[in-house]
Amino acid sequence: MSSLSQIKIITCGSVDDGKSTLVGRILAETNNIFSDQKDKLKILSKRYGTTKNLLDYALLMDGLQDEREQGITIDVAHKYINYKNKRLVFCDSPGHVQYTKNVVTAASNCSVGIILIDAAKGILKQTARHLAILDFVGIDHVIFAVNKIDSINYNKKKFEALKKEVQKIFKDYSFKSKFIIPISALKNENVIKKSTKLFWYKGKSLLDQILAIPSKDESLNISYITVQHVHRPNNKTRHYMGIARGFSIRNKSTVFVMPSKLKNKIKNIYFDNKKQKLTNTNYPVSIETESELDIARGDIITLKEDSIETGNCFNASVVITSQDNLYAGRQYLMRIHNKETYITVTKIKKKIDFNNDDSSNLKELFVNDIGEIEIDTNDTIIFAPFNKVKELGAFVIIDPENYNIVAAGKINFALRRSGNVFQSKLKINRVNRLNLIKQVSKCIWFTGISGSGKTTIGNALEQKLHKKGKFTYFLDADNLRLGINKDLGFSQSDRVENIRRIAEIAKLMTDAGLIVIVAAISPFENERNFARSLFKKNEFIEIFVNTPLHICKTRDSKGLYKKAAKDNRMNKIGLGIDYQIPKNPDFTVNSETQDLEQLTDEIVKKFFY
Amino acid sequence: MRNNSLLKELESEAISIIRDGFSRSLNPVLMYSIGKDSSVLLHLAIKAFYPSPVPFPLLHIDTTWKFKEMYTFKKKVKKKLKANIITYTNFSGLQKKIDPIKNSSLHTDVMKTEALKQAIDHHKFDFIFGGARRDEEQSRSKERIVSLREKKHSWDPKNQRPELWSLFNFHKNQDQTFRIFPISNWTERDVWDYILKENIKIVDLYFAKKRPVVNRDGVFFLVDDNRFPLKKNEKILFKSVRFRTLGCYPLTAGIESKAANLKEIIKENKKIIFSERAGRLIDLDKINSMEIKKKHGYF
Repeated sequence: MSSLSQIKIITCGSVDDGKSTLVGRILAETNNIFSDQKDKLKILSKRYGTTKNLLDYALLMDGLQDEREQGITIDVAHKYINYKNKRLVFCDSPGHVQYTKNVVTAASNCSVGIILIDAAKGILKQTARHLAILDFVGIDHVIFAVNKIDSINYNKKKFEALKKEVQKIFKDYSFKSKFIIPISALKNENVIKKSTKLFWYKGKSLLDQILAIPSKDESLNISYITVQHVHRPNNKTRHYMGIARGFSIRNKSTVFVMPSKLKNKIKNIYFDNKKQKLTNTNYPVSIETESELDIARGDIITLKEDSIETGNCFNASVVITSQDNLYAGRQYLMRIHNKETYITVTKIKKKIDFNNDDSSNLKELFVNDIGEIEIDTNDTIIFAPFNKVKELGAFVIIDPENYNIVAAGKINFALRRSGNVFQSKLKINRVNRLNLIKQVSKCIWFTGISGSGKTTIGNALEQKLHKKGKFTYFLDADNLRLGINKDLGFSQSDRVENIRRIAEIAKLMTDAGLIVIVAAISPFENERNFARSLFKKNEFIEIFVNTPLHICKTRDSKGLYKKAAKDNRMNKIGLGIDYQIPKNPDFTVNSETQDLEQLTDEIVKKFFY
Repeated sequence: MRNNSLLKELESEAISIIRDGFSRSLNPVLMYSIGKDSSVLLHLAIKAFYPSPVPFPLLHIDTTWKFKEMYTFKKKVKKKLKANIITYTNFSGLQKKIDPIKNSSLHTDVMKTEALKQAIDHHKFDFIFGGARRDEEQSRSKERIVSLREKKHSWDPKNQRPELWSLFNFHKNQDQTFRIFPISNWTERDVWDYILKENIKIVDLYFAKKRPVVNRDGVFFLVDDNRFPLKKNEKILFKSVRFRTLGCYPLTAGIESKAANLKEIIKENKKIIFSERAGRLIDLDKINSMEIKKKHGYF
């Protein structure tokens, strides 16, 4: 029985270094282009080609209309080749910096990376970035293919000089194997077969080198099933489904369900349309347990109680894959194996520097940045460091607002901080205080653009409540900027931190028993949701002061609109620009059409009786 | 038997994708075209939920121009698996008598793409599993496994979401849907090897047999019923032909072949110099034909 195994290979590198040409060349030379595809390629080469009379193999990869018209690669092309009893899957990825997210996508499922460099141009910024990405996603074997060696006349000296440069940037990384191979994809030299023109080169041809890479050895010393789906065909049965990893789990084995660590026993194992005696490594199984415990998607079933760690605070590395930056202090969604939870980015520690920018005092990471962060997770996470078990350490960060993937991440280690910071148990609590002063504490949060009337309404509301004998406090964002938020400016990341602090203060004050009124532009839905998440249900009331922009402009009590009209560089968030309209406010008011008295009466009636 | 480890890896990936997607869906459906890829996908779905039955319906978009044998096969599957097959036809297109012979691209637009969109809207399906593969065609080679479709089912190939490791992002807005392709990474050869290994039943048209055909530019069209108009000087021949892919019979060409069982098909496929979809006329009308169709909501 001959066994075909699969090698997944990403080709990357800077623009025009010949990635698509290389894969096209390999497809052609290994007889993996059908004749009708070749006919189509001839037509395409005539119309879009850049290789004069030769077939432009890049057009086999660049399958999208926009790619052909612009002559660039935008997204990953997947090509499948059977060659000498191996299945080679080539993931041809783009070189332009704005499509780096697609390079990360391609690399994340590969075990071999080929980085092309143009022999005449040498190492470029994208070359270094792609190398860092290959390292980031955990690729084991990296080949530098020094392409267009024909353009430097197959010159050994020039190649050796370039090789030294490559070795220099290679040095910082610990891949399992590293190769530097001279080739010409266009002229088919040293790609499939060794080239006589490169007689001085002693190593293997590119394709032979790929074949010589040992297939990955995935022996794990633990055994687990990550629960992907809990299937309930009827109300008596539950089947826990997921891929079995590590050594097999037998029927009747005692298992532990993480993170609860509850003990259970395997009752039935199913896969391959049969009842089975034991699980099959790396194969999807379905199991039933003896006792019906609460097991959910994202839990992990394991043989040993202490073989997999849990935690709430982590040091992690990320690469940013979205135009929306990653902000410290902001709340996000995270998917790690099958578990999803809210997280807060507590700190941005550093970023890899491709531009020699100053990276001290970081508050955000920008698209394509690779950096190190600290995160707090809302739920307890079952994990392993990425470098131990990839599957249990890799995660994605999702923006809960628009569901974009903001970053790819990997857990480096758990921070023990969560274990060291204990919440002190206090004798007098919120309920005691509320009983004493006989009121229900609340946080009334006014959001709206500058000049919409938040402070005016807040003031009037506080007066009214005060008259009724309520204990209140008014947190006005402008006033707080004179004190506790004095250190913050108006950048996006400072605005995130500004709201985080106001929300936390408001929370302390409601805990003390007060009715807290907040007036803050709070332009982002994410931060408003974060504020809401700190409070109990019905304790937080979001009121959207929806006054038309032209009214706010005529009021312009702080003169900001006039100033903004004159100064182009001024940050205009909150002046009608980039303000995210609340999706589900508890109440909406309009200070243009509604009378102040009537409007505050309505709020009191709605939320204080 | 060849390449068991690769097939096991591909099977494992596909089952995992089906379970993962199902777990996050509200109203999922499996696109069932009666072809070999659909048959493989259905087989994988059965395996994914064993011992329970497949927990979602199958959707067949019926243009009313499929091969007769496909309709018979569908009935058999329905009976044998007790499968819930929803059949959908675009009746306004049918009333307009849009014809694959006179206007193939309009027919595909109205009776396939438009019909699929109508069916999804009508049943409010949110996760739609399909058997498309990346090796079939150039724009498919660029598509994600979990492919987000915007309002009105459009695909934006220039702006696909990152898809990292196997950490699929199943979050979407209400008016968006997902097309999910569990066998994205399978090749034609893998599909045939798997059908052999798992003994999956497929439509008889895939096997060579003497059939009434006409020869057009070296490829053979089946004269499946009397709706197929013969051109001048065209004669019905009885040739041993088989089909590598199945669609609407007037738009799907067969090849001359003697391969009457799976082993012979696999052996013969290795020598064929034409791609699988070369026999599909709908791919050939424009150079970016498939991409344009996909942008408008085709599978």
